[in-house]
Amino acid sequence: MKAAVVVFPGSNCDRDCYWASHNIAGIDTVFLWHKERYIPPVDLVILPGGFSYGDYLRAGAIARVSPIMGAIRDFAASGGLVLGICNGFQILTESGLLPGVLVRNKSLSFLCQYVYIRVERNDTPFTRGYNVGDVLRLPIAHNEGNFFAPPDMLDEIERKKLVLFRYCDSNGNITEESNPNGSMNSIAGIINENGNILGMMPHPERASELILGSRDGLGIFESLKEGYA
Amino acid sequence: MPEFTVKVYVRRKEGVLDPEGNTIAGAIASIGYKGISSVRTGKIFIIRLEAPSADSARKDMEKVADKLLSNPIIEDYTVTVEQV
Amino acid sequence: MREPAVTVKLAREHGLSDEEFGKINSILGRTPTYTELGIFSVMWSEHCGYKNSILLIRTLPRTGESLLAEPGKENAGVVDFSDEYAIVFKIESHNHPSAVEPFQGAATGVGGILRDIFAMGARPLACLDSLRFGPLSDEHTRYLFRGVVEGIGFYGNCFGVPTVGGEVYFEEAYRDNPLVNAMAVGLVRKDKLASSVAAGVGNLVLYVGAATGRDGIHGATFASEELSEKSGERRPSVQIGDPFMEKLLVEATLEMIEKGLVVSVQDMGAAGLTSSSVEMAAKGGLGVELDLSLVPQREEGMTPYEIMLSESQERMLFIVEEGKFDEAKEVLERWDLHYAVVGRVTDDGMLTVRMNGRVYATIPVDALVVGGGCPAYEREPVYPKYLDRVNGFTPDDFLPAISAEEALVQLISSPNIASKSWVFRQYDHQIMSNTVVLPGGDAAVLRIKGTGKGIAVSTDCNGRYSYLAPYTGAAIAVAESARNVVVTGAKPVAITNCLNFGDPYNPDVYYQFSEAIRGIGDACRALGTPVTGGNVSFYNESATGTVVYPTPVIGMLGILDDIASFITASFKQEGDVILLLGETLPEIGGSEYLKEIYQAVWGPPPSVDLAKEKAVQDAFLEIAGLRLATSAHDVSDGGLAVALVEMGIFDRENPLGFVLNASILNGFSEKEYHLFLFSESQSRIVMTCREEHLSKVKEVLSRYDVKSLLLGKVCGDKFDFGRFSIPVSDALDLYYNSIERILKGEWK
Repeated sequence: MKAAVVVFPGSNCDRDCYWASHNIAGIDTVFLWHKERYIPPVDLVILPGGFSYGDYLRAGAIARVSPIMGAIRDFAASGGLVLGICNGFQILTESGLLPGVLVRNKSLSFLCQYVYIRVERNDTPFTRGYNVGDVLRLPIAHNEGNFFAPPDMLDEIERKKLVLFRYCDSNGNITEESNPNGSMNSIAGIINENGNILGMMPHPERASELILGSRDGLGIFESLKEGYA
Repeated sequence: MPEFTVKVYVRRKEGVLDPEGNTIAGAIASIGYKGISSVRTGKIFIIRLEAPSADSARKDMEKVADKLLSNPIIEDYTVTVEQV
Repeated sequence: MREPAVTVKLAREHGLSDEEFGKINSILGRTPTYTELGIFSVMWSEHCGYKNSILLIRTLPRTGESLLAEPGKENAGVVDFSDEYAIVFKIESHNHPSAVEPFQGAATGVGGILRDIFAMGARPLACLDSLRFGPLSDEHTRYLFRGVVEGIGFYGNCFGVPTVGGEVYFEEAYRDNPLVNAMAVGLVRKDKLASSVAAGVGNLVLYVGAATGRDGIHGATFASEELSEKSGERRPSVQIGDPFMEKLLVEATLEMIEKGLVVSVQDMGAAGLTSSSVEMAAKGGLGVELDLSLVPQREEGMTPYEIMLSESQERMLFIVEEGKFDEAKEVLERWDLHYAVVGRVTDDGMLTVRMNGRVYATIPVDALVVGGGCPAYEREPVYPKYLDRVNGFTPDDFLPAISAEEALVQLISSPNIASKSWVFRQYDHQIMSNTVVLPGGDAAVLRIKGTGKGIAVSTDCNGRYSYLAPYTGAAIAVAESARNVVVTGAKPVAITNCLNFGDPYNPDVYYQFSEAIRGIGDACRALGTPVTGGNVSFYNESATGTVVYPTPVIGMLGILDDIASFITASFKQEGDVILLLGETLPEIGGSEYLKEIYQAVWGPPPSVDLAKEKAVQDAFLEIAGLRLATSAHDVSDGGLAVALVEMGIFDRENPLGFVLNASILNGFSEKEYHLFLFSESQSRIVMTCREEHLSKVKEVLSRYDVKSLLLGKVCGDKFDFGRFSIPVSDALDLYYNSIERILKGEWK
């Protein structure tokens, strides 16, 4: 398996994603500059977290119009795997590659803390290594992670089972207290209908080694890798 | 009492750096619209209120802009009033 | 453009004394031009010139085998870390800008210290922020507190550096003059360490980053009525931070250094283009000529004076060989950065400033810098009378007015002791995936990828102690910051300091400063942690003359040779025994207990015996190295009782109680019980270990001649202090939610 981590100006989890993917999960990984118009021969493109273009205008709004995004659209359309984490998720929704939008946290402040998320499906390339109902402990770090969709769109997301992760308590119960940012239906991560694009707010790359307090996120990289073994 | 719509426009003072505006100016150029010399960003507050007169609505909302909506150290504001 | 005539009066308005103005005239052999006056005034200011501090600072221990740069010579201290890497770190104040505009003031403070780090070729690894405000019950304080925290988060989070620690204190003395000290730590490959020493006559002076505006030009230096009428313009002096620009700068700077395109580099911080160009030239024994018409400008009609003095943020100055300019250009353009060649390195030792063909300044660079022409003053410190008034308190002077239980509840809910999680959760403290020990404990611990090693970092200062006893307070700041690092299992190796004081011409303040320097020096010598550099911030006073507590903040760096051996402060398992290392004396003066319960600031504060401190730290490090400690925590504000509660609830998801050995309390009067629980005696560490390891631990302690006391056992869901107990769940609620309740107005 080969992966590319896109570097936008202002991306700042690009090295962390590279480290988790390349050094920890053992996926052959390269960086991909945002001014490129072509995707090298890889199976997975990672849109890392950070503040692309300073989060100015809206988080992800300016990255959406950078040259690489056209190529990513084609790559995804032909079945390539795309993983957007945090700002990467925001770029995917701004680009229309995933439904919904991420608005300001309910608390109106930046939140950096551990959360629990529940795995809703394991029939996807991102989660095949987990069981449905598994509870993962991952960190979040964002200002705009509050998932919003108009009622029709939200219904469709649920009907088509596009929700891959929901915020929950340590026992896997979906509660208001365990929803850190006010996301509708406690949505922490969603996939597209084809199942090859995942956007999620929590950071699996920061939870891939025990010394950092959790390795619950490594399963995402390992799931992807195993699918290509 | 008559009802008014007061619009308060808050923006960075002339001469105060506006990083967001600068970055957006670059982004506009990158999608092919040339000739942009500057972009300044701000916020607009649309306030509906009842007041005895347009003048008093303006005066009150200017105070609100001063005390709350703007940071007078780095921001300016303008206020417009329209009767509903 | 015509410049105002320079007179003694104008020089005074620029903060220069008549003697200093005379000295400038004799250096130049003529009256300075207006631009030259501005340049002298900023270079000879306390901020750049260290006039009233440098002679004392030079008495600090500044050498050590692990130091790789001469203190003060480079932008930050450099400490040997491994065969391949060095650690770069520094702390700096941004107090006054934060008092004026807390969000931008704090944000630009973070930006400035980060540039100091990457100007050395180091990638910033972590930030810490040491903050002090007035009482949280005050509405203006809450505004400043919210703004500063938000500004720090805004800048660090966007830039992409984890903010892993620091302190927050609330004291009346800081009401009108908050302290915002930002520390940054970076990692550099030793062979890529960049220099700020200019070299190579004819090399290009390359300006990179944001365009220059009128930001930050000192209000006082601008008081010329004539000038402001003529220009008729508004001159905003608040600096605005752009972390996105800074992120581009760090990447481009590190890439240029990596590719060997940079002769030297310095950030344009205080006194902007002036100090960066002058200091680089002076360090290289060279000169520099600048053509200001080439400097990118954000505003129209800027004068040479304004361009030289502007403190616009996110700007760097590089010295580059002409032959490598094209390659440098390529890097800068790829990162969408603006740049301009604005001058050249010369061999005449002069700063020459031109604009539109006219010369505005010609000054020998050596005349402007510390160690050169910049004045340096030293006065005989005079013992201040206030010290007699505020000291002399003894435990005989009070009777416990409330129960120990009530006192403990009040302490763990008080803003100085309660958890600062409201602060830390607004900072991204995990980005870069190195943070092993998160903020909230004694020191943050970061692993260094690929080395198996790690670092521990902490900031510390108890300003109240320093106010009551300037020497002891400063020595304790060093001792405690070292202890903070030691309890994680790391060996303290070096410090950086940020010395926040009042007006140095006030004899009381000067005494405080000179005693603080003596205290830091003695403690650093005793603990083997040299001073790698730092920052002095004088004139921290309110408009009405209230002087802040003398606050010498110490930033400590420790190294863990084996990152897997790190220790955290939270209890790990039931049945572990709890041991207190060190001695508890009836030292309640200067304590959080006296301040919180009696609203009293009475000295003397606790004493510190540096030899005992060193023994406790060394003994604990040996215990840690043997992997015997399951947890460890420094005993500080609030004393033993608070330390024990904290250890029980630091791991919020897995809290654990304890039971105190009741026999310890035998024969204690009520007052002695309070003193035992709340004394802030120094050189104490609480640790836990498996019961079967206790004898080994005690063997180590006896070899170091360190006294210890078996306090009890980890168990249950309450904190049992022998004469009272509180449920762990109550403590959790009070400790973690108090600050938020005060901010929400639910509590006073």
